[in-house]
Amino acid sequence: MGFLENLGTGFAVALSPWNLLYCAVGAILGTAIGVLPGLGPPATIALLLPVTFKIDPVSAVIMLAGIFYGAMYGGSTTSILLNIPGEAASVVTCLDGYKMARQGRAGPALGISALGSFIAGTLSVFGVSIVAPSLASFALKFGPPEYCSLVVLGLMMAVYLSEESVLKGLMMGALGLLLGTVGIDPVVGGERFTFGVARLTDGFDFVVMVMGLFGISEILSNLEVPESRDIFKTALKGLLPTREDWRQCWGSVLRGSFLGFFIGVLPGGGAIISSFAAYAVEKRLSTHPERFGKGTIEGVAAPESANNAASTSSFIPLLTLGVPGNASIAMIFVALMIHGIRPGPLLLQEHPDLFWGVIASMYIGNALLLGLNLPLISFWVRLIKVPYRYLAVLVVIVCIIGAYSVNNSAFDVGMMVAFGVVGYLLRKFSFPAAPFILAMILGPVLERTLQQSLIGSGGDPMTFLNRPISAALLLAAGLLMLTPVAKRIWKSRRVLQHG
Amino acid sequence: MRKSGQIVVGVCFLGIGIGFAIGAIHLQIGRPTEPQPGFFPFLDGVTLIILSAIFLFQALGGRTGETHAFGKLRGPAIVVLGLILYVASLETLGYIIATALLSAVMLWVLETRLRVLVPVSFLLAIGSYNLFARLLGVTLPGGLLAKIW
Repeated sequence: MGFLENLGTGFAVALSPWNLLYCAVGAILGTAIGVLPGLGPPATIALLLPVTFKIDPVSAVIMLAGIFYGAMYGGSTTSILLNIPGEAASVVTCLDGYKMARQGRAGPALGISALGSFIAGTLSVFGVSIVAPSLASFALKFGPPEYCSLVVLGLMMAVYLSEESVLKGLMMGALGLLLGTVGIDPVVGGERFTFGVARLTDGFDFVVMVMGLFGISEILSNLEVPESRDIFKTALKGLLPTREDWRQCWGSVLRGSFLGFFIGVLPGGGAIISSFAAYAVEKRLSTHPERFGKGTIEGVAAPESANNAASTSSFIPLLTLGVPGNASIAMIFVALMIHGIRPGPLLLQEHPDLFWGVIASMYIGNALLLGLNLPLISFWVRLIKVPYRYLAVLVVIVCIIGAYSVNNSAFDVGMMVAFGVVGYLLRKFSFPAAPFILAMILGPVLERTLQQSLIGSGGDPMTFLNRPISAALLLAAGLLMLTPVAKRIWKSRRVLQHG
Repeated sequence: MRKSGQIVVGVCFLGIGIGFAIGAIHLQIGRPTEPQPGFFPFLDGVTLIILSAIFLFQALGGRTGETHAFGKLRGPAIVVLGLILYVASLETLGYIIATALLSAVMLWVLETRLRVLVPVSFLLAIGSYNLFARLLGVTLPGGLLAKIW
């Protein structure tokens, strides 16, 4: 089947009434959690995982994907109106978005954010539908050593890109791999590190863990500081950017889309890094860099386009290689596994309806979000005005219900609280949570492929370096880890040279 | 304080690495050609031990990078305590009573007036119960109110 035929099949799946409904629910819910600080996309997706057990896997993934890219749309609203990013990917939007709002241009800032996101999301979906099938065919050549090396690269990327300290990221990755070994071991099928606790036989539950690490820990952190939110009162008129606005920022939208797409494709890359990178690129290319940070529309258009493009393209490593690139995508990976679907190169052959249906739903979801966001902006603004104390209690209640409903057990709620406290402490010491989650999810794949590779090669570890693709992937991982060391040496040499 | 905190964190990671490595030895490691259940956890445990040792070395020299200062710990501490009591009493008291009490504690920590706190707590507990248990079919513990609600 050709590209257009495949896409046609995808649209037939995505346009079914139920899938349209799930797409809309996901997109609206995503926007709401993007607008409201407290419960990010990974925790929301984790929370809805039990709900998806009862529905068709295609509909489930369509809804969960909608939450993820919907949150990128919603995150910008609080950045612009409150100077508080609803999502980490919208942090950089605060710089110029809030300044624009203070200058009485909140409307165009919100408008360009929604329109830029729509253009970027659509371009990125087009890119996904072109790149993903080719990458999936290429990945069919992979054996266990290549997969093992790919997982190592994915984890290294997550470590490298998540926080400033590579060492802390590596420690979190190693911890995640270790906790991922709890449960039934894949060799002899015996219990491993369960300490006789029956609940741990299936390992730690991802839903419980993610809600603790992302939901509860966020609330605990926010409880330290008294509530203070200054909602900027401004008339939200003229949401559509003027012709002059467009002339100023169309290049930023396209560059942001392009950059976001490529950063999103990298395992470990994602919306947060792409928004910062796009902002930095725009500032460097601008003939008036001094305007950045003072309310220039390019400073909103570029990062908002980039984070949407990246959130869409980050589905590529999941759908084609079976390697989730960030915590939200990792939750969608878990959802697919629960439904007995293994993400990877065979997904396109075995479940073309899911593959193309999800891609087509992203086209539809982006259009829906544009249609919903501009008219609903005043509703989202009213939602922000709900006092944080009520939101905080609601988030905790929702997390409790989500954790309890996994096994109808208070034990899981206790586990969630424990992970929440651990997550809170790790935040304080700047230990990133993303490598931990990815390592826990990818740990079993890494263990299986490592053992298969070693058994297949008679115990020779050189098998990873003798195969060109595997060697290239490991080389890339090694270079990534050496980059901070090289940077440090370079810096010290410069300091020495310049006295 | 910050340095000692980093050292405590480093020691925790080191302890986890050592614990898993010893546990892996008990499970049997095997050989690369015949890996046993402890093979992968052992490799990973040793990796964590090495990384933690580097971290501790850096922490002793005060070079472990950025940390975020603890703010007022009273709020998080009370809520964590409330959550622990919630878990312990959930099955006995039931969802509505336990959740109303937890909500009241949280709202109190977040400086809500008493005349607002009480009705809002019960409203949140009863509302969420009706939404999730009645409407969406989620099973939640009935506890003391099981017979009457």
